[in-house]
Amino acid sequence: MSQTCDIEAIFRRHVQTVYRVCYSFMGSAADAEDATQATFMKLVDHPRAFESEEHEKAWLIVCASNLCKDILKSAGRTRVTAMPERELADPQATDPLDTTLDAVLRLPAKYKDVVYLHYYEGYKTAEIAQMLGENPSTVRNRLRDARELLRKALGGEA
Amino acid sequence: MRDNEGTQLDQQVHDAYEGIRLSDDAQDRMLGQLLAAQTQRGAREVDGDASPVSEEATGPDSRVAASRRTTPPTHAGRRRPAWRVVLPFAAMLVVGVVVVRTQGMFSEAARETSNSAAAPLAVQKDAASNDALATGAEETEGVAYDAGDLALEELSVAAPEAEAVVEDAYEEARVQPEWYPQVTMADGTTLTTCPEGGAAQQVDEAQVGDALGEATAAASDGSGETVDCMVFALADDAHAYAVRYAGDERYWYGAAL
Repeated sequence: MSQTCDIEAIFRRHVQTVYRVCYSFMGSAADAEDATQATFMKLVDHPRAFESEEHEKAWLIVCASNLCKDILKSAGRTRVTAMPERELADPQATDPLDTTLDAVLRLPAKYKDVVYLHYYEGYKTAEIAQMLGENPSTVRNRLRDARELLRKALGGEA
Repeated sequence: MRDNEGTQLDQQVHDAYEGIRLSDDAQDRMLGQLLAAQTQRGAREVDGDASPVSEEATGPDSRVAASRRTTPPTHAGRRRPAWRVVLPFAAMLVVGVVVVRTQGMFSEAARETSNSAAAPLAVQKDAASNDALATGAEETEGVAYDAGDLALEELSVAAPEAEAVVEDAYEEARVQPEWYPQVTMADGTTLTTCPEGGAAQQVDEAQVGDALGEATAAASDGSGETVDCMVFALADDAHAYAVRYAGDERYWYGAAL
C-alpha cells in the first residue's frame, strides 16, 4: 500500500488522532493545531509510503509525540506552567470528563504518549514499547505511575 | 472493587480523550494550507529546485525517506564539509601520480637490469623487478594512507581500476561511523556506534525496527563537528538501537552509554 502523495486522504483519516496527541501534550487548542499542522507538514515535505493504515497511524502518533516533546523542550516550557489558564478546568468543575482531562493534561510529558496509546488507542504494552523504542518494562512502569497519578489527581473518585 | 475502579478510570480517561476534537473549520483550514504547501513543493520540484526543506520540517526517519528519494544519497541531508569533497579528488590525483611513478620505476629497473652484464641476466632482472615492484607498492600504500587514512588498497592497479578504487574511497569518505561514534538523540539519550572504542558493526536491515527519531553524531576527533543521523529500534536483546547516518544506506549497532 502506497499513499505517498495522498496527503488529503491521510489527513482526513488521522487528523483527529494527531490532534488528540498534540492536545494532550500542548494543553491548548492553538498550540495543538500548530503541532498537528507541523506533523502533517512532515509528510508533505518528505512523502513516504506506508505498509498499512495502522503503520501510517503509528508513524503519525510517534511523529506528533516527538514533535510536541521537542517544542516543549525547546521552548523551555513545563507541563503545567505552559498551559493557558483557560484550558485548565475550574477546580470546582463538576463535569467528571473535564476533571479527568485536566488530570491527563497535568501528567508529565513522559507519561502522555503511553497513556494515550494505552487508554485511547488500546495498544498493548509490547506494541507501545516497539512504537516508542522503549523497553516493555519501562512502558509498564510508566503506565502504572501514570495510573497512580491520575488516581490521586481524581481524588480516588475513579 | 479495585478492578472496578481501574476499569472506571480506564473508561474515564478514554472518554476524556474522546472529548478532544478538532473543529471542522480548523480541519478545512489546515488541509487547505497543507495542500497549498504540497502544490508549492511540486512546483519547486518541477522547476528543478528540490532544495532541502527547513530543519523544522524534518521528522522521524524523514531523512530516510529523503535519502530514498534523491538519487545520489551523498547529497541528502547535511551539507558535507569542503575537505570531504576535496579528499576523494586529492586521493585520485595521488593514485594517478603513484601509478605513473610505479610504471616509471618498473621500466627504469628493467632498463638498468638489461644494461648490467656482471650477473646472469635472468636472475638480475627478476631481482630488480621484484625490488621495484615492492618499492612501488610500499610507496603507493604509504602515500595513499597519508592522504587521509582511506582504505585504499591495491593501488598499483591500472588507471580504470584506480578510478574504481577512488570511487570506493569516496564511498568510504562519505560515511565512517568510527569518525562520528557518539550519537545524541533529541531526548538526551546518548549512544555509541563503536562500543569500547571498537569497530562499528553493521546491522542487517531486516532487523531494524521503527525510527525513534533524529539525532546528531559527534566527531571522534574532538573537533565538535557533527553529522545528522537517525536512530531506530532494534529487535535484538543485546543491542537496543540501530543508527543510520545521513546520506548512507547502512545501519550500525548502537549501544546506550
